[in-house]
Amino acid sequence: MKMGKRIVLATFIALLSVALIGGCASKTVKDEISEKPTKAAKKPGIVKGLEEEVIKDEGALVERGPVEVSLAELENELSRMVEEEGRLTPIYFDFDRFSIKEDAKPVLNMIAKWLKKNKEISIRIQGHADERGSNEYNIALGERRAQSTRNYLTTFGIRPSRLSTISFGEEMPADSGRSEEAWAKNRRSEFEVISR
Amino acid sequence: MKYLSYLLIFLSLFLHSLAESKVYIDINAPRGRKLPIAIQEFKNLGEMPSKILADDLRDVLISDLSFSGLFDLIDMSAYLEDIELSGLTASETDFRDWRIIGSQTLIKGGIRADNNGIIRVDIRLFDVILEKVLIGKRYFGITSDIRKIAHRFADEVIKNLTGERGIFATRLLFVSDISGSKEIYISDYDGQNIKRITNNGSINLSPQWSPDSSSIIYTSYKDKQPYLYMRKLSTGTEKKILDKPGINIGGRWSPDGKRIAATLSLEGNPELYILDIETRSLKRLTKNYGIDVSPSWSPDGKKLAFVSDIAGNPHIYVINSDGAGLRRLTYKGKYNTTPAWSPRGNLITFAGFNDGRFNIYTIRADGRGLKMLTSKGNNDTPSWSPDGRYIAFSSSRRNGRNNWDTYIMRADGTNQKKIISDMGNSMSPSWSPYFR
Repeated sequence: MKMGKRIVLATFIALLSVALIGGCASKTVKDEISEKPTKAAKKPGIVKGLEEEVIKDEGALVERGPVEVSLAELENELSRMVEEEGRLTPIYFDFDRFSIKEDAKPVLNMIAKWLKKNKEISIRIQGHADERGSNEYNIALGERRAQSTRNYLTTFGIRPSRLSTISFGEEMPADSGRSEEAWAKNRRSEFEVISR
Repeated sequence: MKYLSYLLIFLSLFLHSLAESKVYIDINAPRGRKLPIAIQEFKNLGEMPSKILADDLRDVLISDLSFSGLFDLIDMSAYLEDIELSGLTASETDFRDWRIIGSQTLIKGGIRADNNGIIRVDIRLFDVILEKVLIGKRYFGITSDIRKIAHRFADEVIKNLTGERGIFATRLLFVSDISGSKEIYISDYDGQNIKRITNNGSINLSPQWSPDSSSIIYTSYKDKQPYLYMRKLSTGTEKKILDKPGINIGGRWSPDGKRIAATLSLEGNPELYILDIETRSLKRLTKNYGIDVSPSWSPDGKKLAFVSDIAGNPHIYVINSDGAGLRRLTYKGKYNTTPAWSPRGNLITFAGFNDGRFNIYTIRADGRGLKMLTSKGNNDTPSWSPDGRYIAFSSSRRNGRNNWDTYIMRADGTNQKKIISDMGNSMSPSWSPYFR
């Protein structure tokens, strides 16, 4: 149940970031085509050549403008995650980089907004790295990820004293696998509620 | 009278040095000829059986001497001398039997064990050509000392034949996650005799020796943040030596034992600092917008090699210990890390990323002569033996999970030998200085 909700939330955040970055429906449609195989392709042995399918506009969270409502939902979800798990949604980084990626910004915007509303709350930002490279370099890299995350949040007027940092380097992977997929999940900043 | 005794002491020292001046092996000659050596089975000199001890002693001696790459061990099946009819002294040895099989040096010995586990071990090294004893040693101990005795005698052999100190009695610190958390362990140089040092269930990293080998420093999360700790090995007493806000990692003792270089982030991004242990004063070494980690002192203590990403990717740089003279050492590769300055001063070893893998490299301190020493799996955290002839490192060349093992090799990359496996992941080996 929890798991399902988390996936929904992740999908939602992904959609939201597409909306915020791309801002138009065509991009969403294009992404759908590349992911969704046509009926013909599902049946082995039948090759009809290129097929096309019109995708309904139902899921257009983006265009209909329920973004405000969804933000509220997201905030609720964030609050629930904080209350039940003491955890906010992580943000992710490129290999050996600590700059805030575009798709992380909407998440940070939410967190900043939520922090502004809940002034009694302080958070600790954990910086993490994937396993490649040395332990020491990765602790330093995680530190810089935590710092750049904090710096980004302070631009919203959050007091730095409410935002402490710690780096775990490569020591606490979210995924212990050794693939680009696993590494991508490990290059992250996590948010920990430490007081209220 | 007094002057006469001084003169006698001087004369005896002079004669002694003359007697020892023959160098059997030129240790620094490239592709120097290997010295043929025979190691006879060790005799039982007491009433208690000592065959297992005798075999252990011989095995460890052989393992040590062959790892050095300086010897050509003659196989036991070729030996002619009857072990029962010959003795352990020069007069009881028929050196012709050893010359015929091509040997130039010979090790013989015996063990006497009593029923309390107390042992006495006699070992001699002979020059087969000159028919004389080069080293004669008697060791008293308990049965569990047998490996230590073998390492000590192997060191004597190296010292006698090359004129340089051996490293077989040295030890390694390393990190293992076998207990479920990363803890610090210690072993002999050959990975045997493993003992656990930390036991706090937290994350413990980057163990490093004090230059007098009495203490270690390491980074631990046991007080929640990554702080630097110093621990005396004999007593286990410990103190936190750096607990500044932010990270306190990668401490390295200066060769004079008075300072510790480390990475701190108390003023913002991770920079190198030098802590004066006595005065507790902290001096900032680097000032840039990048990451600066993993310092390694030059043997004269005047320079440090370290990792910085100021050019966009992690590379090896060198800086004077007063903060001046910054220069970049490596240009090849996308990710170079964990430098270690050789005790001889001429080389720096590091782990570098090329073609999808990390390998161990050496480069001269002037930035020339880049050499790749490994080629299998991923390889990390090289550490020099105190004589600068060998490198310990960790490698994930074995298949499967938890596949980081500890290896040692000669400094030219030959004779790579796995010495620690079955310890989960064993990582970050740190080779001790000489003991005593």
